[in-house]
Amino acid sequence: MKRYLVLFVLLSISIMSFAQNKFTISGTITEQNKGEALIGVKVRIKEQSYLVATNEYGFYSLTIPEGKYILVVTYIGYLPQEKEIDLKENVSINFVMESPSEKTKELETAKVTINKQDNVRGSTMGVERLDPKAIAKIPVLFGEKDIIKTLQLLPGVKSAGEGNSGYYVRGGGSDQNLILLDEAPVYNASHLLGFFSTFNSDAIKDATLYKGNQPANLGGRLSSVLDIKMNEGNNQRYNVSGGLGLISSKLNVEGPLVKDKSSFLITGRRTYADLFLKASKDFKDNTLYFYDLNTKLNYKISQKDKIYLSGYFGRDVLGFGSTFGIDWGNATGTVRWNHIISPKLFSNTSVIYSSYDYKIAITAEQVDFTIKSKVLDYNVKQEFQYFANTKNKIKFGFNVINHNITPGQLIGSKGVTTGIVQLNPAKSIEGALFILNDWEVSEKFSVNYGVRLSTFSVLGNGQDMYTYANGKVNDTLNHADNHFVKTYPVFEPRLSMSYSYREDQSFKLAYARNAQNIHLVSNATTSSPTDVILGSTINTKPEIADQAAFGWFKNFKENTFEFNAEIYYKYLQNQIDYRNGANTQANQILEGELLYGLGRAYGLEMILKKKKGKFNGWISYCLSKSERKIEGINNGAWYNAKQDRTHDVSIVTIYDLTPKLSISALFVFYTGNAVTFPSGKYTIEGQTQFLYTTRNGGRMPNYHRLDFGVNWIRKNTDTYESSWNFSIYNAYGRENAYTIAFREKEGNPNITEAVQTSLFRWIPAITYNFKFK
Amino acid sequence: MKLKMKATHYFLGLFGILITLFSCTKVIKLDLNKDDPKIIIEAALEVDTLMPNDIQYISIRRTVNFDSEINGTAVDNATIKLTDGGMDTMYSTLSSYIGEGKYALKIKPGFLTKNKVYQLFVKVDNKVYTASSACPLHVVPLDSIGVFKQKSFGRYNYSIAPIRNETPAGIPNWYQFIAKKNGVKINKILVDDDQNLDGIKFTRKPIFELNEFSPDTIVKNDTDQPKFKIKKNGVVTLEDSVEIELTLANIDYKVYRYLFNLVLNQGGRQSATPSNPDPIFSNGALGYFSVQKSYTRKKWINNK
Repeated sequence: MKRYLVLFVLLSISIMSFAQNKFTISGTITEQNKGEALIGVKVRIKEQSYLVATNEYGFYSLTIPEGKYILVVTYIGYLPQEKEIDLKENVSINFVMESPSEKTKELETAKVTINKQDNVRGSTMGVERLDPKAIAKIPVLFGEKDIIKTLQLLPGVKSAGEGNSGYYVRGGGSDQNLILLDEAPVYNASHLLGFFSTFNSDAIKDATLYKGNQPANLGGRLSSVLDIKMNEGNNQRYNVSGGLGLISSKLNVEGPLVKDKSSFLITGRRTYADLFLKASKDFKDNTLYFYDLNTKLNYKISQKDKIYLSGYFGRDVLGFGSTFGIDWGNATGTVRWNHIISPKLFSNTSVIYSSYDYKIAITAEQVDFTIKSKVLDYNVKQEFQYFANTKNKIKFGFNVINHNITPGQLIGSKGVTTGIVQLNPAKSIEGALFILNDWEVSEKFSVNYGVRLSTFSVLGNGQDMYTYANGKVNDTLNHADNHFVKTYPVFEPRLSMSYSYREDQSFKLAYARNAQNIHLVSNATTSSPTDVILGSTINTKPEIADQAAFGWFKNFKENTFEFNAEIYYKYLQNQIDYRNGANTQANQILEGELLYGLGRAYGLEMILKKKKGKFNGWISYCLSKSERKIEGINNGAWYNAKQDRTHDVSIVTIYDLTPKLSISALFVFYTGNAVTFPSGKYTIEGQTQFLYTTRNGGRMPNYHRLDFGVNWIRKNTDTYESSWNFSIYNAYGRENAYTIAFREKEGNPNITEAVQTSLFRWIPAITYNFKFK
Repeated sequence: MKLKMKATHYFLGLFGILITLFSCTKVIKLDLNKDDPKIIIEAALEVDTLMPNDIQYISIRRTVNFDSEINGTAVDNATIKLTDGGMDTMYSTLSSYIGEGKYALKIKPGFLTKNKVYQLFVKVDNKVYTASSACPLHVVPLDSIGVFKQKSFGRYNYSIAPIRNETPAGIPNWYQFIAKKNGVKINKILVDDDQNLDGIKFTRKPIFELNEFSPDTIVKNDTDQPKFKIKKNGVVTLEDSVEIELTLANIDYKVYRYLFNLVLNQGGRQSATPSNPDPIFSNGALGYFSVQKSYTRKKWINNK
């Protein structure tokens, strides 16, 4: 490992030695109407190859030899700008991007002039970026726009089930995805048993999904990182917007605190399904709702310093009369400080709080108890971005997270449940040091390489820790509070490169290693708020994945069409599964029930996008395989992971009939999940039992459905905008299998039958959106 | 712990409500894999029965395909051997087979005791299946049956709890329960461990529920005596009384684990990856061999 580090330092030094008489142009680029920083705006020098893009805070820096130039600034959906400069010293130039007015046709021209083979030229691969505005026209379940459900329509990303906001990336489990909201990890990103994601799309500015080949500044999960950024809030004028839907309504208020200097944003959403329940005689005592609140505040202290505060609070509340109640939710808070140390060196410091908890209360004549569980993180992240020269952009920094996991505490106060049962809480510190370089070797060849050194330290907490042999406790250890018990370092090299052998075509290659120390131990088909979150321990080692990918990217018809194809192979270590017959319920010695082994996943992903014109959309296809091999399961032979699906197809089409009216259609097809079905039966104690042979050797039936949507902008004036959104989910009423259960036939226990449960057929939805500007 | 299971159960109840708002179910035809028939052995043998003519039963059957009828799978040509590793060995005889896959094994008085490991050999079609078991040394008696009324999801349930006056601290215990209602066995596997109840003096954790009564009938009492009603013509009948019989068996860990796995396979959401339990018998036979100590109690629940 030392050898690599030395090599790395040498490489870094070679980059830093640059020629004299060069100067830096730097600044920030914002949007005209709202003052929001724009990410990924291209700044280039006319008739030269110098090119740079703004970072996540809208900052850019370009160092070039002195001389006279024309700066060209371009961004999708905005008018391009040009500026002449005579570069003799370091200069700071800020740009404000204007969007073309509705009436002008300039937008189309703007689209043509920019968008120059970005997908072809960048070195990153396995990346999907979504703009929440762009997904507005795609039909969704209950009309609830959802960024995660749109991600599921992209190749290599699979829905965890009907209407589910959980997802699988490249054969990994749904717990192998890291979801960051303004850098804060969100532990349970779903509402209402997975049918809605916790992200209110009105509050989101940008979402980027890295499918395992993320750059070295990101890490912590094996399969993917979903980096979601909240809107900053309009610093130019106040505006109020909202939407009324069948299931929920939302309201968004934003505006300047001090014009051009600071702004705030508050976005709230609440469901009202419980009102329907109230109307029903049987369910009137029940509670069933969730809410989200996104808040953000930012303040520009000086030209060089900006502070951002962002917070998210979301909660689900379910209750059955006074007998039973469960509520769960996430709370995150991020304080960020952007500081421009020099025109070439940008710094961001973040202090992050993130928590997830659930509470269950049961009250009855003989029982009265509550169960509580909580995950609490304190997180510090420091990142420097050094714009070394036109060819190299270096990022380096560190991240330290203190995890506090209380897996469960049960407090009973009556009858059969008197007493307290406490599962041992766990403390740990996760650290990472990273450095990466985005190196444009030549106009045709670019490389992004870096390394991440991640560590995970298990801390003592004064309580017993167990070690196991064959599932039974064989030793009990006790470590003092905050004593370092065990540290796992993992060296994670990252590399991705692109070679554009033609203007509109390129080959890309990537390799990455990722380590994961926060594991979700779940043996269920559906996600539950009560799934166990487990940090690495003296028994459970970090999960490690090595992924290699190769891709071919091509644009044609003047960039109207974009075609990407990628193949990947992923090798996974220390994968976790349960022993046969594991007791997973509030088990003090849960780790004794765990087994560890290997995994492999490989596949081919293709997507064809039409990005321009009245008729646009995409076709995505993925052919893949995902398997596990764990001693003690399936006789130690390879078996299908539950998320293994051979084929996965999505077709998304949007047709703009007029500038105000558009129609859309969405078709999805995928192979059923791998499941364990019985291959025979017998009775024990007079009760029918099923005989199982291969783990996950069966298949659920294939899934497919068609959705339609209509988007109608009713009014759009300078002060007010309103629109209607109609959709129908599962338009041809396909009965897709949600679960398949096997049972004795009623009245004749000699006969057994398979029973399929399906959800959601012909679900119509209507949403009204408004905006006061 | 079962209490949390209970919470999960409630949670699933709500989940169920939500699902039923939108869902539909239907019986479907699935093309399932077929497997060669496997031998199933059920052998629960009681220690210290103190009976002069101790006859205990072992049942041997075969698995069938999913679409086949489950009955008619009896094995009638097995030979059985039971040893304690010492001099004594019990053999099945020609007359041992009593039909429906059941074999009656005559046990020498005092042969089956606690604190001894027994081996069972079952030979079917020249293949021998073996397993071993030992009754736990520290057994917990069943002192009485507790009945607890609970309202859940708008209905009254009766939780039936095996009351154990003491479970020795520091010694793990595993239990299997067999319940009968009005003399008819409830075909349900019921098991429990004392992971969270170890050493507690008065354990009355419910083990199963009866959902027999309509919401508005109220049980006034539960006693050890049935309540009778004398009609005008002098006929004596039971007045909505239910007799509960509960047997608590002290079993070994292997058997507990086996049965618990089967319990997990039953429940919907719990069993994303159902599996055959880790085998107790050699050579691929399913089922269990348990040398155990049981206690049985009865109780009447009188309605109205």
